[in-house]
Amino acid sequence: MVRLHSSEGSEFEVERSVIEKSLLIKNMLDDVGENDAAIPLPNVSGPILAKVIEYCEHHRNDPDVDGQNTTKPGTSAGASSPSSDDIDEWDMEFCRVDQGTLYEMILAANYLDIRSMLDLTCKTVANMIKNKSPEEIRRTFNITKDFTPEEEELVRRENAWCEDR
Amino acid sequence: MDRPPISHLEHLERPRFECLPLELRIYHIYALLPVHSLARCRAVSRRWRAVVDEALEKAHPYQRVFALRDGLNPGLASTAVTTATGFPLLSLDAWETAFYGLGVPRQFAHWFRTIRLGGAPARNGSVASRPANSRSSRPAAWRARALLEETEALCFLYRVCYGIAGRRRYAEHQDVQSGICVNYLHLALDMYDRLHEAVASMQAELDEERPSGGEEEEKQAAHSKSHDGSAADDAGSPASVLEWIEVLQLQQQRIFTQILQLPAMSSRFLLGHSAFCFNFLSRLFSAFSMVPTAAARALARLVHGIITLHDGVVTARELDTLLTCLAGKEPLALSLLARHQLLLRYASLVGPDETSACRVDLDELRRLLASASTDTGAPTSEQDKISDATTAEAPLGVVTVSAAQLQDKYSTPPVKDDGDDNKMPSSPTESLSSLASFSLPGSPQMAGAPLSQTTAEQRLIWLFEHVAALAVPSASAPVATAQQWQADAILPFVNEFEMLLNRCTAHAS
Repeated sequence: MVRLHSSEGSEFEVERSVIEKSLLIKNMLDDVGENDAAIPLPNVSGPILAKVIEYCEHHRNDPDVDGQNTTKPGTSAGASSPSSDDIDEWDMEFCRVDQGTLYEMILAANYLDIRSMLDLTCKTVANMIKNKSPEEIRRTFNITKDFTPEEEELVRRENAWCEDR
Repeated sequence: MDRPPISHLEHLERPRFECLPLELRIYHIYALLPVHSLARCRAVSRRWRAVVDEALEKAHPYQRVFALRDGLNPGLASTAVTTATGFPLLSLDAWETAFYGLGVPRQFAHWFRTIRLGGAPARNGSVASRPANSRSSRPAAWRARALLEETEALCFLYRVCYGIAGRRRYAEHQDVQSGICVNYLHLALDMYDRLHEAVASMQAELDEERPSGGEEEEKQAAHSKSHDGSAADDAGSPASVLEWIEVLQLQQQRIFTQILQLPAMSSRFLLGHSAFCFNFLSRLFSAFSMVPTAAARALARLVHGIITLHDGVVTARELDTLLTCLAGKEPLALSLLARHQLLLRYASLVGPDETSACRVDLDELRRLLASASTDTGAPTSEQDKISDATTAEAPLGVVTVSAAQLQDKYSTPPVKDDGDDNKMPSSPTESLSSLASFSLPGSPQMAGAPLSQTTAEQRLIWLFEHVAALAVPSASAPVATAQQWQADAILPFVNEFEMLLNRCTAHAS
């Protein structure tokens, strides 16, 4: 078993095979070996760490992402372009959290180097943007429009082609 | 005084979308969106537009195409998403395919000339026809305008080449990087020579016509003019000619900087051509005395490109060549920093001797920085932080953003935060005081810290630039005006580089 310390000091005990989804922790354990000392994770709060562990436990038997579908966005185009559509039901339910929690999960997945969780959470955010109008996006993310009338007109003209479709 | 509700406070403390690191937003979120959604994101706010444009350029499978689109051959044009209203997009793969098919520099130059003449609209109405009025009919001024147009087109081409050079995987073949690098450099060096000649001929023309003692007045008149096109209205006047000279010299600087940057981005090309790599590095270090910031930036990009290659790409022999190239180069702090980064990343490829050499490098770097601290008056503890930052610089994250800080008139403003947290320090002392917050992705200081919105590559560039500012005192002082540009000092450098490139091309063919 591996003990993890969250930022506020909560302690979590988790099987090594589960938490090894995190490359950061896996490399750490490979380097220093398993011992009784808890691993401090100062960038991850308790509730988020609980979510991370929940994710790792559910996906413990999944094959490693490396080598499969790891095409970096932007490195290929056309049919092989990455998509945000392929999220299974459990994952979708797992990401049904408020925005703040979702962003913390993204930061935690990035910090702990859990590629599949990072992909999942980022896809969820991408889906919050997809097919929305600029006004809907502003409402979703609580953003104030700061364009001057001229800039707005310019963007409107530039974007006319995609609005016509 | 009433306190805001707790839920509101919590909302403020929790991360917002804008707090996510830029590389996550660009590579992991925006890159997943279809171009139509991405285009709508541009209409959300200024910051969103700036970030989305960055994503389109650097990460998205589609790339903006500006003036050159009409000149693309029919095969390429069919793959483009073109529209009548602007904002056309084109797949980076399509550019890559186009470049891959253009083998030798002559073919590439011909292709560039064809698409430039076929597709570039006559911006500012400057090139389409020779000015009719007698004062504007000077050959030199007219040529300057044409050159300016061509330089703009070349700078666009640079952006595309840069985007492709920075790709982590290639649709065609990784050799495309070599082709792009060599072909672009040929064009850029030719353009540099032509700009130099144009400046020389305009100066000669001016000298012939200038009445004695009128130089100062002309200079003042030239500086009092704004760059809003008044020169175009009166392109034949001596003041205007001086202004054109200044503009062309600035373009020379721009092209020279690009000549340094593109090979630095093409790490696979450099690894495959050790002789070129060796000479390029030598010239890069000699450029520190002329353009310290640009040279530091290029070196950082080169190091970043190499340390983010997948395992197995760099062999022990190639690493050894690189380390040898870097050994003892002046400014020493920069070469030590570069060596140190490479040794950290490729520790498994080097033996115990090199590992201890790495430690020696670091000690030497610390000593140099400490002595620079004494010279600049910066506190030593801050210098220790820069040394610690270099020590802590574990191999940087694989996900990086090609972070060219290039701007031309087509680009949207650079991404900025609401505050000034991301502002790059302008002096060594300022940079050192900001260094406490220097952090790497995933490090404890990451969230909310200054520079947290920047990418791993930008952070490395920042580090190199600031070590350069300590090592080369003039690095913090910008090359202020075109008049200060040492064209005569640069030209031999460019000529040497051209010979080197010719040898490389001959060898490749």
